[in-house]
Amino acid sequence: MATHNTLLGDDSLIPHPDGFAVALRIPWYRSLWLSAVSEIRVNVDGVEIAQDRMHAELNGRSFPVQALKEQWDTLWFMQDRLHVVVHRDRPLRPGERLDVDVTISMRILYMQIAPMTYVTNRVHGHRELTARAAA
Amino acid sequence: MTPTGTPSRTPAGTAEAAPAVPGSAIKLGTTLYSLTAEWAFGLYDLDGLLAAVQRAGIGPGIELVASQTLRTYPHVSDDFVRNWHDTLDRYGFVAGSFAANLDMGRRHDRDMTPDEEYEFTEALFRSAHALGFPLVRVQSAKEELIRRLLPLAEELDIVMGYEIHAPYGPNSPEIVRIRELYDEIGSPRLGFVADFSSTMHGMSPTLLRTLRRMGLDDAALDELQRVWATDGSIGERAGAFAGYLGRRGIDVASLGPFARLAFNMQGHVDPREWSDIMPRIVHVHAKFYDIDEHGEEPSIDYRTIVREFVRGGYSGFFSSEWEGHAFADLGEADPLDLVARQHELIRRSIREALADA
Repeated sequence: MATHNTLLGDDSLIPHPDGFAVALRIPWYRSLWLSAVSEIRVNVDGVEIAQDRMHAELNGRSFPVQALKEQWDTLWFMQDRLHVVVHRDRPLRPGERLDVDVTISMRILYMQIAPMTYVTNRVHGHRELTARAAA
Repeated sequence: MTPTGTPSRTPAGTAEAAPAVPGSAIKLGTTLYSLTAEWAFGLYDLDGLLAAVQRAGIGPGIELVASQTLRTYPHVSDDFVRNWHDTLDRYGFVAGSFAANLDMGRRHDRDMTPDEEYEFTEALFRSAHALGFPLVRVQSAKEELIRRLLPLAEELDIVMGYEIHAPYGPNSPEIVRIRELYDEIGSPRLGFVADFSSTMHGMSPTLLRTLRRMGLDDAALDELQRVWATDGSIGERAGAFAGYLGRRGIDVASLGPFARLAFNMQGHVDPREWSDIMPRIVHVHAKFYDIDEHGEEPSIDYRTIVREFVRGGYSGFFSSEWEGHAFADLGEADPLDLVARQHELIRRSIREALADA
């Protein structure tokens, strides 16, 4: 189901100089502006990651997670994955395993219910993942 | 129907779309939306996707959803345009419909102004024109926007098709208002895209199977289908079913929204109502979820629907729209094979309708 259970894939855990990245597939059937992302929550091995201990990357550009909602002119093309980079002191190494739990809320910004109110798709993904080689 | 008085145009692709069956002017095609899951997972680039459509023999009309296909959405690059025309020519495809959305909530802190709505839609119309599409599917029919777009549609030789989709039908109050606006403006450039999600005789077994997998038992599925067949709004029906789930102690939080999706995606209007607006239907989304072992769509009565379109003299595309990917995972079904079998069903239904006439 393109809109619900494809957020995380087996290859979603990627080493990153700042820690590790979790690659997300867009939980909708079309591309959306990054401003559609109203919330991302990440929980790793049972511990909630603070919003200021992560950032987002799309095609080499970095954004604070809380600033995604300002990115109305950046398209999250549906064949691209949004990388949520979780900061930690020691970068993850390929082969390490983590229990990753992600919840994302998207404003479906062309399906208006009332002025300023849009259909929301809140999707949850949970997987035990093995870090692959860095891209 | 081709609006009268439309100047000749050069559609993308040099081929003319041949009728599906001699004796009726209905043409066949596919919307790339049918391959949403394969596209999302990057199994194909655009050339590969069109090559797969060619191999499956499910052209010649091609429809795309701009926000799926265009990396530079809502714009198109010169290279993209050149490649598109080359590919359509190579395969003998014809550009059928360019499906647009209006991203009015693009900014999180305010809705688009009327000027921004026009500019955004203008960009989409210009992209559609560059790609050789004679028709743009629109989803917003705000009166002011329609009136502003008309001169642009004239300039670009484009027909606007407002989509009629579940839960609405041709005679729903929301659609009757648009029909009245069309009558008042009186332009052949204003029409409707008929999506067969509106006229289903039952909920799709594909959806019911998924809900069963998610935890609904027979009693709950029976209740869901009973509520679905009533005439309340989406909100009323979703509320009624959520109440039932609550009384049974079933997880409303996860199953309620999914069931709501069903009310939104599948409607039960009488298919004969399409005849009431037939001259205004400029394009068809031949929606389907499955083709069974008898070659039939289990929840959409193609024979009855096609008979209405044959009798009404419809001459546009039936653009096959497989939406099973909303409920099935990648690899559970082969959309290319399903569309090929659905094209057979449509051809068979056209032949039957012609024989009855």
